[in-house]
Amino acid sequence: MNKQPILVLEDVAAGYRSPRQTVTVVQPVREVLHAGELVCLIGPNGAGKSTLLRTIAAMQPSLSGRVLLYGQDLHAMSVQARARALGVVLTQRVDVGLLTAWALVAMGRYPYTGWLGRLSAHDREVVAWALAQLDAQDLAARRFNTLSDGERQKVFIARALAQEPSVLILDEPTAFLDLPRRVESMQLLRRLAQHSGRTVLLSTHDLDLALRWADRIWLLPYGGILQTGMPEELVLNGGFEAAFASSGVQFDAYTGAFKTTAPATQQVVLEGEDSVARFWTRRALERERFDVATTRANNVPLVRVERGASPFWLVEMGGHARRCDSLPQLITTLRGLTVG
Amino acid sequence: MKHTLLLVGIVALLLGLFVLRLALGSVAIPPQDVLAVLLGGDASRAVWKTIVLELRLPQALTAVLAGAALSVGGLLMQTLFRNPLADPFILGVSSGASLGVALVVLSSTAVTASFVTGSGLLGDLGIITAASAGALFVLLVVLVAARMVASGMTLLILGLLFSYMTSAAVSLLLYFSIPERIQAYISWTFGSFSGVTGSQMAVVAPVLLLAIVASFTLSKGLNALLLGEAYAQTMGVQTRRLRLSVIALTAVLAGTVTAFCGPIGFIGIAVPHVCRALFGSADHRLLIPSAAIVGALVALAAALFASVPNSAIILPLNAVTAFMGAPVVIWVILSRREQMKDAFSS
Repeated sequence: MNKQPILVLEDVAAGYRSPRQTVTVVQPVREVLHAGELVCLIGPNGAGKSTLLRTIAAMQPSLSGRVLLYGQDLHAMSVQARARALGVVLTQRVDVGLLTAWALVAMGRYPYTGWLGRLSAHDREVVAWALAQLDAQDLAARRFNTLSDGERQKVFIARALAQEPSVLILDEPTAFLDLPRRVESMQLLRRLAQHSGRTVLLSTHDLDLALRWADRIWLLPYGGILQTGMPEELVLNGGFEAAFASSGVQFDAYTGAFKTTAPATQQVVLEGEDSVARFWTRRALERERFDVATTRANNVPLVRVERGASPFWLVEMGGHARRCDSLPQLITTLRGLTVG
Repeated sequence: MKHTLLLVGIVALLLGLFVLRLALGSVAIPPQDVLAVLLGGDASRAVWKTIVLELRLPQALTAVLAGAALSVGGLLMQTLFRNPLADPFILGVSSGASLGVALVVLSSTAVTASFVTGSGLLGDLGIITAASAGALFVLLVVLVAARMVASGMTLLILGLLFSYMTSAAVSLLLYFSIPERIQAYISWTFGSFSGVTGSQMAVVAPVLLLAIVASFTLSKGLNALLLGEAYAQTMGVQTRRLRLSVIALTAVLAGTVTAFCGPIGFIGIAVPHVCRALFGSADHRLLIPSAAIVGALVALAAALFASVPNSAIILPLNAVTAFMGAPVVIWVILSRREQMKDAFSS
């Protein structure tokens, strides 16, 4: 992979400054964004993800440090030069009913056009290219208010792309989308980063998607000390668990998902050849607050997942075995064991 | 192409209405005589030439300029505040002018009395000076506020509160004034296109035309502003400078019109919506010229209705613009609701 550094954060602290006080939301960050990278910024609500993104994009002043784009101070650039280097997609939803998708994407050419915004042939090519990058050519003639949330998102990303920026910053681009659309846009952004040598920095609440698709994760817990690394690194070093540590919810490094930390009511041992069936059985049991172990013990019911035409479960306890044909039946059976 | 055709049609309509405005009034003058006078010739009767050139032409030009100025000003405010119900007076310019006029007309000190007595009340230089001073004062206050305040919403609320304060001051002045002066003040609030003399036109016309052209040069930034200030900024627009320019231009447009014609409502709020609907576009490069032309057209039509043909009756201009404009605003609100329904059901 091309590892050319594009954006360098030199001890950038983010927050708010008023005459009376300074509130530091994000402690000084020293980081580099490389060409071709997709970086996901994740963290609990209110930790300062948007503040950090806005500060990097020079939409608000940094409290300290510098943001360098190819060695140039981004905050000191003219707005026009900055708009050519940096494309931004914000969370706020905009209603521009009377504009066509094409006209909206064409706005991305503003940093390149004259005072009246007249588009050259080249500008039109770039608009078409940006729409094509998002598979949104067929939306071009549609009015913005006739588009679905997913389509609007695409058009807004295409608009940012039409600025031909080296860096694309997106604040929760997947927030209003359904699951397939989220996966699609994440893949698309990753492809954009890799193929065009841009760097894409986005914030998201989709932990699962971020873990799967990000080249690097920026993890921002409360307290504002940013941790970065490959997704798997942050799982293994416990960064995730610490960042999201709160009462009732816990990051489970085993599944890469959150689970409740409510106390388990009953122990069971789970066995089985079929790993898929075992995985989903475990999920069901854990949700029902069973403490699921994998090594046999005395006086603990043993659940064996068997795979026939469809899965069934054998519950063994004290020499007796019972067959269950559905998960609800299995759970009722296990509950019955303790009562009896 | 479709837009050009539409625009040509509207301009033709405007010219026709312009001639009609010169032809109709308390005395009807045949259109061919009006055209002859306009082309530098003589009318069938000598007095007609005087009526057309000295009386009706300044009025018609005033209507054209005022209508154009108010419509462009309204468009600028609707875009700046992303609010379909904004009008050119939303920042309190006309309230400032009203207060200026009220101070001069309603208070009874010896100095101000000399302004009012003498010539007719409307078109009196004293009133124009007072209105200009009031509008200018508000402009300065708003510009200072716009420099300090970050959010457009705060500015909007400040403008609203300022209007309440000035109207409170005006009510106090009304309460302590005498009937003749109250009558004079109220007739100023009716609005009129007939107060601008030829020599004043030499000042008003260039100011308004320049402000309209200057607004047009901001089209690109205004288009970006449709996405909100944050997005506009990321697309290379200097939003702070744009906001100040837009506010200053609107204040000049609305302030000048109010100073010379009184507070004329509804044109500024309704015409931009008519243009958006006519052209099906939100592009300011198209909307600003078309708002100017349609605004001129609407103002001329209002003036025509106000000076009831073949009679000496002149209706309050604001009553006419309200009757023409209010249905448009109602339609905007209702169709907006339709749009929102669409958005939610999709």
